[in-house]
Amino acid sequence: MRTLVVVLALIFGVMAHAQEEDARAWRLGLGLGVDTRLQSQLSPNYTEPRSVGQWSARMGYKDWGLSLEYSQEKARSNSGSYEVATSTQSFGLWASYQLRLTSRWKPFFTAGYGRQLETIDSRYQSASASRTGARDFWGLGGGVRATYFSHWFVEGQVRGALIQDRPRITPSLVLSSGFVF
Amino acid sequence: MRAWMLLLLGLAGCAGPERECGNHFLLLWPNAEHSQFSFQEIGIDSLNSPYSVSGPAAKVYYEAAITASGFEGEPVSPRLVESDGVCVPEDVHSGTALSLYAQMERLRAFDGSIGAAGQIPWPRSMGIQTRISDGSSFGHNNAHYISRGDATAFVPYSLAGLPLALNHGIVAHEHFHAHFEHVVLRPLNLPSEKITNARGNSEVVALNALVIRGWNEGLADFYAASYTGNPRFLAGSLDESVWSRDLTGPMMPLKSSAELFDEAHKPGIGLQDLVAQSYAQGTLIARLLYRLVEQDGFMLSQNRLALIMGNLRNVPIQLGSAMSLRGVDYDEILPVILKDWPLNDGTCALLRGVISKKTLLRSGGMGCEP
Repeated sequence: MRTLVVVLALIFGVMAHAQEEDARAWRLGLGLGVDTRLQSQLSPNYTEPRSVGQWSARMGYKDWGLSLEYSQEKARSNSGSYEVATSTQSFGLWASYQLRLTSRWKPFFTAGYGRQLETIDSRYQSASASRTGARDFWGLGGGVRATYFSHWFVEGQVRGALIQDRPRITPSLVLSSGFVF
Repeated sequence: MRAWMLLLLGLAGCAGPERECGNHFLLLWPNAEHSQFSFQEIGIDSLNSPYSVSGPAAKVYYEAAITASGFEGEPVSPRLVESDGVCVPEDVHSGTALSLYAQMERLRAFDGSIGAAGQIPWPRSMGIQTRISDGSSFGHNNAHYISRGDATAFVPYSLAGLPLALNHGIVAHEHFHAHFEHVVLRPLNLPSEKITNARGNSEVVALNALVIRGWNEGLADFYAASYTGNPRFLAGSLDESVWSRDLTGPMMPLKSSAELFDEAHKPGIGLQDLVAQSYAQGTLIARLLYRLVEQDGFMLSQNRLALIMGNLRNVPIQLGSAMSLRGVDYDEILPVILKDWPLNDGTCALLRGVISKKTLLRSGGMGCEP
């Protein structure tokens, strides 16, 4: 897996060098999106989609982009009087490189790194326990992005993330939209 | 910019999912008195990985279908997060699967201490949230040992108490059925399904199957009470059954085969009524054994259970031929199970209270005066 990361990094570098001459200005933006993850069920033979809203703050320079993403999700499960409530805050920093094509929809590659902060409240009748934990994740992906009226962007991307404490890659589809200036 | 990007990717490459949160888990677990449950950090030593509930003690499956070779698919992959060196389950079913495995790990050690671990194959196949859609009442708030797959299934729990798979007494009860299956039922050619479904059996075999079923249930209750030290181990999970299954409850004589035959021929009596009666007889058997241990002192309960587990194998040897020829009395099995049990005036008095055929008191080396 690390070899793959290094190879992709080299590809990014070569592509960046090839397009170095065609520069564009700095950009700043905000976006909203929906991240739909295909996560494994307890029985690893099955997966289920789970969607969570996210917002992002973006910065761009030439063909490069940097996006700080935040999402929050809550889950609750119970059986009898045994109940577990989980709250997850996710912060991710995703870098992207966009290929410069003449078409409106431009493909891009992305790589990111982030942290999920978890709070787990377990209850059974009068007994309770509250614990916090954190896990790192990193991922790679690619997608397409179009800009309308000079400022309004729409993008869709597919990512694969490796999340600590999760034995398998978590694929996800992220659809987002926002404004850049 | 390029250098920064490469640095970011390099850092990302150093992080991986391989971190494991160790072998201590925050689980809903009984206290030392086995009566209350709280969240405790419990060690599980034999899991191959915390991310798969599979090890030498058991394989635990979630919502899995059962086949002749056990549950289908892969064992549970629990959702966990590490917190101060402890693995914390992120949902109730992850916690339940891990708690069930931890109990099976301890039951394996318990079986070893009473010389019974070799009676059954390991790892045991266990299912949680198993769907049983036969339209019966077995689909909820119950647990079943299924001989066809040599597996134990915990079906969804919809009451307000402690889920059955977290109740270590109920786990032990179901686990005992595996022992009974391998040591008694299979040598008798009476697998659990044949006992459950009386159709196709001759009447003698069908009624004897009910007697054997009563013994299976009674010994399972006694095994669970010995393992937990709690004679009311159903409490918290199945409160409406606690009174009827309380091992400290009242004693009565066990039914003879003639009484069972008469019951079966009463108008309006169905198989479910007879099964309910066999459970009631089982409770009387469990109460008798519990009181016998009480007479000896609970310090010896593990020794006495070891004796019973060893004597189980004599049941098919001594009663196998009679099973297809004539009705077997519930109390007829007592001398086989209690072989070599040290008797005194107190224990003999208890036996006289439940045995109808008084000649049995001197059979099988029991040596009580009728």
